[in-house]
Amino acid sequence: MDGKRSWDDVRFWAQELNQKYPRTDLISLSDERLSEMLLSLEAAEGMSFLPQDDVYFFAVKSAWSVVRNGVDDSGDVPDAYI
Amino acid sequence: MSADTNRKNGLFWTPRGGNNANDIWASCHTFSSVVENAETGKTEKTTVIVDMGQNEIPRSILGGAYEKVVPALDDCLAVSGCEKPENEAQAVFLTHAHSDHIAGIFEYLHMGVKLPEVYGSDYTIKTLRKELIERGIKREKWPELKTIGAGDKVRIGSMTVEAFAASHSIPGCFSFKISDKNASIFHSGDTKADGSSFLGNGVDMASYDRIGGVDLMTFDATATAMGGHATYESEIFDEYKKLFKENREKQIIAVLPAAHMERLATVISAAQAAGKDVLLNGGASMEKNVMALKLGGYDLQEKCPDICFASANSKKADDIDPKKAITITTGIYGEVNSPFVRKLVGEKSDFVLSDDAVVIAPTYGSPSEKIENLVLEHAPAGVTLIAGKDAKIYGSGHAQADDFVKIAEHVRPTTVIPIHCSRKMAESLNSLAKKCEYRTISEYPYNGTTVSVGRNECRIVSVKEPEWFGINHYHQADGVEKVEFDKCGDYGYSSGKMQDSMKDRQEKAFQKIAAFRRERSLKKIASMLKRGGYGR
Repeated sequence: MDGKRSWDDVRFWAQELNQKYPRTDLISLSDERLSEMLLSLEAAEGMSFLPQDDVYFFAVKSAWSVVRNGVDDSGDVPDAYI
Repeated sequence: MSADTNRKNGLFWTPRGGNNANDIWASCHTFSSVVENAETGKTEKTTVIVDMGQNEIPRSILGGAYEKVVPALDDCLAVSGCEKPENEAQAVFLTHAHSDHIAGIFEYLHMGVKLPEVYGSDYTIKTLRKELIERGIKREKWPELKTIGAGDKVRIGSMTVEAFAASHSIPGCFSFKISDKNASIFHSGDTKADGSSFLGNGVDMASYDRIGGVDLMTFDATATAMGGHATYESEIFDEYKKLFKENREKQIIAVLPAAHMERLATVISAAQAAGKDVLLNGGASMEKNVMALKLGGYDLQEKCPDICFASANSKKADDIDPKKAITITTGIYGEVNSPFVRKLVGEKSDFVLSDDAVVIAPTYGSPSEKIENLVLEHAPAGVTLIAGKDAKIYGSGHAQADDFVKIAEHVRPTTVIPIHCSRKMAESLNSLAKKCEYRTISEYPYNGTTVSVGRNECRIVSVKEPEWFGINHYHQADGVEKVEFDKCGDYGYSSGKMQDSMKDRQEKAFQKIAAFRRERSLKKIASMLKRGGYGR
């Protein structure tokens, strides 16, 4: 494991999660279950305390969604006219 | 901020982005209060920033030389390589969490700028935190983030900022009343007069009544050229519910803008009311926004107990027959990454499309909407299209004419000035405001125009050509993300003038891109050589 790895490196964790838990339904995934999934990852061994924060878990799910869908299309449509 | 704000006693407003000639990108405003201390005789200045947006179409400005373009705020923020700011901003207030209002924050942090405290609603601050994490911005660089609620008043120097709930297209939207002992301004942000949100938030007219009038209302003019009121979410809910029930036996494809969270909540609520299961297959942007509904107070598990709701690419989706469900997706604007659009044009896509599907697309006739042509040209002959002209399913997130009239009646401004608009949109709101017997100012305040706000008069005191920071991101050989930025002129972008010289400027911009790429390549090679050459 890279000693500098941080829980905030959500893109990395998203890739790991997608490999180990493919086809997880992100919409119904609870924070508790996501916390368990993160802690079960091989790369999580020896990591410090996992943030227990709904915003942190949302950031992980959001990054996971990008990995799952293959592209971040958030900028495809400008927000200004919505 | 111009030197005019250095005079004694005055409340000043300057649009820094969002008031352009031809479009509405990069909302950003500065408000300054200049007050003379009666005891010491000294002048005290307070400056706050409201919204820090980015230009969402960076190819439309500065010849497309930069990946990101944000208003240059080096007169109120300390930016490396620029002069010390004249009037350092003491706070940033955010009206809502759309990228044209908040994404400049990420760019300034990438540029190494220390921001003052940032205020917003619970949803806005949570979204900001989530974005800071996801964009890899280290926590030690974050500004202090402060959550406020509707009705809260924050005192910043000689200025008071009060938050009011606003109704738009995402949760947690605010309008702000900004006042000092000289005058008061109601800054609408993006708003409309709809209290029927399924997200449980919305405009509160009674709170506006308590304001007791303001000297100036800067008002969202994006859609005020449209007559009537922005269709209420409750009306849209009824229409979708009816259409869902009428087509109960068919696959229904509900095409929506991914970022319109208000509409996602309305359509999902209609699916629950019609008893139809829902598959979500609109790419990452739509999935993110559906997940964000929970942060905004709309918990799918609670709101939709009777239907099955799943991402199309999940195992849970195996329990739903797509040919009998509602698939919510993207594609109104022909987005190239939309799974539905990819399916229509024959590219690789997991999107299931029945031969007799019913496509519901809330279009309103804008040239940017591509979905009708895509369906007509590419979908199987048995597919039915229900567009905005066929049913009452379109609703703007912005105030239409009647929304303005209603909100203004409660806020009671003396003067009205349009914001978040092109010149054409501004002219339309000015005309409407005059008809309603509010004062207006004769010239459209483009970005960089400073308006002095007084009890009896609002007037332009200076017009300064705005400036922008053009920013390019790159990754160092060790993977660390860095930015390079330049302070750039406006070249007539905001005012719509000087178009004849654009060709020359574009040429220079392209040269700049080439230089940037060359320099980046050289840096990369140097870094690799330092680490032991290409072989590693």
